[in-house]
Amino acid sequence: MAFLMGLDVGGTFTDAVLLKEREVVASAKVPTDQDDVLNSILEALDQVVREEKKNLIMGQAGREGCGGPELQRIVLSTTVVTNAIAQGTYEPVGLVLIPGPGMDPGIFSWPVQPIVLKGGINYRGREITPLDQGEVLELAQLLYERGCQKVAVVGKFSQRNPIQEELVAGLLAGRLPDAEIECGHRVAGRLNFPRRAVTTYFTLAISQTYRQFAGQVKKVLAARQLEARVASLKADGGTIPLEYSLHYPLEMVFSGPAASTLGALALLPRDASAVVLDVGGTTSDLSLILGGKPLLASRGAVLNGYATQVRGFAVRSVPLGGDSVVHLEAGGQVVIGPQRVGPAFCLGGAVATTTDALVCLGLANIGNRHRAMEAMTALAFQLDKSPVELAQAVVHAVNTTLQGEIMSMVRRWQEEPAYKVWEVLQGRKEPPGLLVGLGGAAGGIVPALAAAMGWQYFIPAQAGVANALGAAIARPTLAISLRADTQLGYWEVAEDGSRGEIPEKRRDFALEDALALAHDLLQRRARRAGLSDGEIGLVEDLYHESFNVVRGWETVGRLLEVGVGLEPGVLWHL
Amino acid sequence: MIFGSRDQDTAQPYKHKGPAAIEHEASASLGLVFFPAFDWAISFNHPEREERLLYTRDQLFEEGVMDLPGIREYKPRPATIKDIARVHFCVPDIPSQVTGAHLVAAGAALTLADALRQGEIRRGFALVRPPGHHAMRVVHGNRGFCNINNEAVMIEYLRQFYGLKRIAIVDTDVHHGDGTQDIYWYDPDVLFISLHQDGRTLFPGSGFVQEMGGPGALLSTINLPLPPGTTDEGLHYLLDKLVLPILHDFKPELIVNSAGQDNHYSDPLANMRFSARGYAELTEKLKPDLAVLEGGYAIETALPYVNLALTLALAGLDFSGVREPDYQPDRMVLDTGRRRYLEDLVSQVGDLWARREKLNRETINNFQRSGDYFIRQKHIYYDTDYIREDQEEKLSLCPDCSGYLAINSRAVHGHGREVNCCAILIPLGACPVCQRLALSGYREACDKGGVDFVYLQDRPRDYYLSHDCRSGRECQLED
Repeated sequence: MAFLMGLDVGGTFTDAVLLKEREVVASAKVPTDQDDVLNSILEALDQVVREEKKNLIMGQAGREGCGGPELQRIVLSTTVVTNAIAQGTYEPVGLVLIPGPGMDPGIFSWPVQPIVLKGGINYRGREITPLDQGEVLELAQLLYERGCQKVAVVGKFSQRNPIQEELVAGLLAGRLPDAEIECGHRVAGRLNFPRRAVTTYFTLAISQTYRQFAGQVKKVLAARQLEARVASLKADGGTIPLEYSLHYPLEMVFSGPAASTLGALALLPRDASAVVLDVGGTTSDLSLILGGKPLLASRGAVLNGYATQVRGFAVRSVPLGGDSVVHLEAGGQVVIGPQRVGPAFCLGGAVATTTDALVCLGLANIGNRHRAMEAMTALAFQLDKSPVELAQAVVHAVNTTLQGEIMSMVRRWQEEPAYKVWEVLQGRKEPPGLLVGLGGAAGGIVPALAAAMGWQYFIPAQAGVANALGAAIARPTLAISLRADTQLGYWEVAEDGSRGEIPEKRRDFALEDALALAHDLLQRRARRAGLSDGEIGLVEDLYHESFNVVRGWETVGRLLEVGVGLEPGVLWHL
Repeated sequence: MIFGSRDQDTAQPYKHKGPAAIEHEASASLGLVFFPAFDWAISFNHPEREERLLYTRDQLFEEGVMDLPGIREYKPRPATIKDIARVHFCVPDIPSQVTGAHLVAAGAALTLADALRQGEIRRGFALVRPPGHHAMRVVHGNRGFCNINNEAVMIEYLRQFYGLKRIAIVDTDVHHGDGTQDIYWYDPDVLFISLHQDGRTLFPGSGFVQEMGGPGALLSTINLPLPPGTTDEGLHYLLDKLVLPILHDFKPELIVNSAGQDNHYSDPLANMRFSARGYAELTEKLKPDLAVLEGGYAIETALPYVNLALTLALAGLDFSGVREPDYQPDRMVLDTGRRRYLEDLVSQVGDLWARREKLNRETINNFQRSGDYFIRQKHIYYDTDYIREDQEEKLSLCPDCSGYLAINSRAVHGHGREVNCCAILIPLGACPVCQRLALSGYREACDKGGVDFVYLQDRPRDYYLSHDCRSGRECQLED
């Protein structure tokens, strides 16, 4: 019997679940101690193992428990990376840009004042402005004097030709032998220079934090003699072996919301479409599942207001949760949130919250109902209303906001730009019509919300630990975007900056060749990442485009781009 | 209740430092539809092929333009059959003249027109293909790579649904915008200004100063032919001395720019010497409400830079860093010969413009007439589809309105096949008498036969008919 464990370290709670095949055999929820996250992990781990042992003794005595060799895999989703960035507790990084001709980098604001170098590569990867070596050496000296330990070097179109990035990195390394230097083309190869720069910057900024965390996790598991494979969950809902994840630390941001979405996916029938609403304490997270696949943010995740190229689910975070404070505006209007002051009044908190309104109406059954009534009464008194009327107004306000956000998110998806005729002309994208509620307060909110929208709803029994469940049964993801320019004779891979030549005699290199090459490269990468043959077997073609390059009425080459990979998904549906 | 939400896809990632930051936050400085039609071509090696906006895509996306807080990207909706029928008489019918790509390109302009009028954006740029400014009122086929006039479809839509009246179109493509000129020839409320390489040296061979508009609409068409080799400096001289003052006088409710980019010094199909910077500065001065891409075939050396510079200029952002790798400012100076030509042009057209009201009154009798109609004969050549068309237009003389238009058209296709049609247009603002006369004219033509098709454009009622004389079948052109 194979056991799988999922651990989700959230801002408020750390959740753990243990699965035996398709069955949840134990789950645990402990408060997260932000100052000692590892201890929270340990507690959740111990609690779930204890519970499983108890079940074992009561039910299937004589079988070996999950602590032994039958625990196949532990998947961890964590806020360590997200928090480090949100709180700014990361190491300083020097940002060196080679923007070339085009938009002035000063139009954007950057996490740190960038240093701009001469140079330039164009869309085909041709060098159009040379580097100024003297300038680079001066910069190296300056960084040396400043004691800079981390430097991000990012050029516009560097993924089409990394020569200038590599040259600068080499020259800097000569003067700063101990510094960690990273090039943009190795981190973020999709089109979007500002996002590439920010992604490279944050990758360096949190690499140490993440390494430390991973090291401690390994120690903790060794202390508990757990020998299972350990993986991290990425923002795109894919697992990645802990060891391998050290190369891509930034991809571990927002793994919490990704875990919840995957949990919902696992609890829905195959190929279902739904909006997932995860009601937390301070915020509610919305995500979309379309035909059994979570929707990805088209250009990448946004961190602390800075756009990156990190692949992540299109999650919309609404500042409205169970602990959001209810107060009255001057005109008597009921206002909810966005701040959280502590737990709900009915749970011993100091102020009236959304949860108090739900408890007051009997829509939730937690804490002290009398205190919930008391919280509503205090506010209702000011409006000359009954406590129940006020609670109804609160729930109405919450639903109105959430409905607006859900419809706006669906519209955003429906109106995603398209660049081909058939994509624009294909039929209207229909809203999913199904709302999945997760999180503690979902039961009190989702039925009325779905009714107001004319949608169906579903609140799974495991709604409280769907996040840890999602982590437990997430599949690995891995994708490669390969672009080939047969006129100029090279191919490149966006994800890791690898490239190769297309020799003169292979100028008939066509779409099939590009796909074959991409599959081959992906397989090698998958083996390095420790994926099984079964997992590699699920690789599919994701997209492709092919352009004839015509000069003077003659076809002189082809520009091809193909994507192949493993899309986010779950090992099985429960 | 006021909530802010954070959306992974749309959160404004960069705090903008430019002047646009102080504008009203809810509306973007620029609405952009980028529709490169990556699956549409006239033929595999035609200039109008899939590859045309590929490098523009690379440049815009690599620069992160779509992430700029002042720019909002829109998905185009396809135009409807009725949107097309509001402008064109398509022979034999609309489906045989438009492909999905045409509907999306025209629809992109409509999407932005809506966003503009609903206050979501301050300006719009339809960076789309296929282009449209050579498509005339009657469409037998493709000419100058165009079937459907995207700007005219947009303008008639704005008139229909938003009640706009006075509109100015400034065409900065290197080729004369003869399609747009044809559509608005009799319309005194649409000012059409075309700057282009002299018609004696380039397709379509028209666009001379003497082409100034029909009776009562003189100087609502203004052609400014430029000698080959005219530079940024020449362009801006003309703009400052003539185009901007004329626009100022005309006081349009809306300025549309037919933003062709083939005046660029590297364009393979023309011989001018404008740069990306010259184009962007033009845009900055012109301040068009809506710009629609037209031609431009230097797909690597010009388009990525011109489109980026134009987008930034329209969004009110700094474009000074955008320059072609081989840009040389000293090549943008104007020589004496061309300067003298432009000075003459400015004084000649400026003088005509100043006298436009008098000219319209005094020259009305100079137009060719037959009975109660003004008459005009035209010969039209379709280069792409190799069609030769002969037209006779009859505009009714009416003391109360601008009259209705009847067009007799005979097109000979390359293989000798001949198609004849008769088209009746009742313009917006037509008086009841003209409306009645035009309708009975349509019926008569249907009954009389002698042509293959009869068409009706009833703009006041937004009602469009197509009648096949061979089968006797009539159909209403609807959404």
